[in-house]
Amino acid sequence: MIERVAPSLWHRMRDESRQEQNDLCLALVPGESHFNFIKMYLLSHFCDHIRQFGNIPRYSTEIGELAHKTQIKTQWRQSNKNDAARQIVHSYGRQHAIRMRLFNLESVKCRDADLSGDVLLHLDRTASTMTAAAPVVSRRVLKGRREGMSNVVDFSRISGVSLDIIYPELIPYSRHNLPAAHRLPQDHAMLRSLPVELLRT
Amino acid sequence: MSDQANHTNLAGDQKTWPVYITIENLPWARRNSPASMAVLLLALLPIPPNLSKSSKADQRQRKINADTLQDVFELIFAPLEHVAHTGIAIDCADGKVRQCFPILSAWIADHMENVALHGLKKNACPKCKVRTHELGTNATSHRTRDYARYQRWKQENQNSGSESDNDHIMCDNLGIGENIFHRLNRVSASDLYKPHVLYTIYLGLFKHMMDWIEGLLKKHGQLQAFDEVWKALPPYPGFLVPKKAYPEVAQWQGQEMRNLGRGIFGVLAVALRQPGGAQVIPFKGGLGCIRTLVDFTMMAQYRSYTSDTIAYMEDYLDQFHKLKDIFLEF
Repeated sequence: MIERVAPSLWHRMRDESRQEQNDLCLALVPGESHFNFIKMYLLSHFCDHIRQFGNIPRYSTEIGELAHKTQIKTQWRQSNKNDAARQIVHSYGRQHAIRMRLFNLESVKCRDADLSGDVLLHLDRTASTMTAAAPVVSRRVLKGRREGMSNVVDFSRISGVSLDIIYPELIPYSRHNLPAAHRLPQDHAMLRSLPVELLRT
Repeated sequence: MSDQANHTNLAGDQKTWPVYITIENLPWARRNSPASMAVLLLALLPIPPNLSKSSKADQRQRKINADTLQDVFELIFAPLEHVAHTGIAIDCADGKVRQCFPILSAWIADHMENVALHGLKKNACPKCKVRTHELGTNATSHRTRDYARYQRWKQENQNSGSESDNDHIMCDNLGIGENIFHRLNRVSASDLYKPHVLYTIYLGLFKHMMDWIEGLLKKHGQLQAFDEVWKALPPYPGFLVPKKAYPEVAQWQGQEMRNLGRGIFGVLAVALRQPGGAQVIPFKGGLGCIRTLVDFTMMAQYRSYTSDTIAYMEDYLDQFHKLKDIFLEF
């Protein structure tokens, strides 16, 4: 009795059995051992290449492997997965442009050009975030409403970030970013009782 | 200007095929530091679906894939086509504006991609016309590929619609699809291929080498000794201690392969230190072969060369090809 199977399954089974047969055939001819791999041959171009173009590590850059992570995987995660390719390409382009701008300003500043005050201030802040690795607190986002969180002390308790880190971050932040009318208090004692709602930007 | 294309796996079986771009006149160390932003994502190429075996329909699909790729690259290279002749004013980092002639000078990719982009078959060298059965020899006298001629030949073939009887060209391992670089001015397609230490040696040849070594060890019953030495390697700055026995590592990464390259010769020498009567010759030959290969690899990573060091490299390669027959059986 012939068992009826779906055509797609039948095709797959046929392909598999063919594959097996191929493998068997290959296993039966072990005598064909040889060195004719392409990688074997490519070595012979190394010396000529050095004579013609210079050293090899110069071209053997592996920065691309890292770029996968920084430029593609991260951006893909940030995209909304809808026409993601376009978003990936654009998003890194923007980041790159901003970074290049900062590099340019930095070098201009090094040459003692007179920049306006807010540019200098901005540079100082980005430089500190780019270079100072010390106060790196892993960035977390608290989502949804939390019960029993009314002031900064509670916030520190729930988020697990110590007050000693929060205060020095908060005070410069309010000085630089918030309009004068909404500035936060400058001393630690008053910050303690600050309602959390005011921290929202 | 150099580009590179690699495959990446994204979450959920998604793949991308990115093309990066960077400029060549950057210092080597500067380009390799990610903070310098020297490498810029240029495009994401479409990935054709995997095709199983070559049937009639698949042939057509392959042709369509190749044509699509060709069109995409035409789009990518369109800005480059004329500036190679006319030049373009570019703002330089020192504040001056210079007339520049951007020319594509290198294409860094692994072998399969190189072959696909050059429109060749899988076992073809992108640089010269070596035949498949000669790949294992050390002959360097093959003629450089003339991609312009291939292009003319393909067009003629298309116009006449019949198979040309030009066997000479058919032997050159041409695949479906065209060389994507042929439209660019002042670019020699055969020079775009650059030897790559990671792809060619570490991920390519070292894999074969480990198969040979394993075969040799198994045949002479020294696998156990090798594993013991391998696991007992002491730590050293810049050297990661291997955690697993050698055969247990399922997938090798570039860094691990580099570690292997550093340690393998010493480990092998220790594992093969007490040959029995009939084992002396294969052990000696195997060790010598591995030694030349490792030496070659190390020298390939030099930063500068003199004619002496290049001569050393050539010598190592010759030696390697002479000694490699010991591994032929594995």
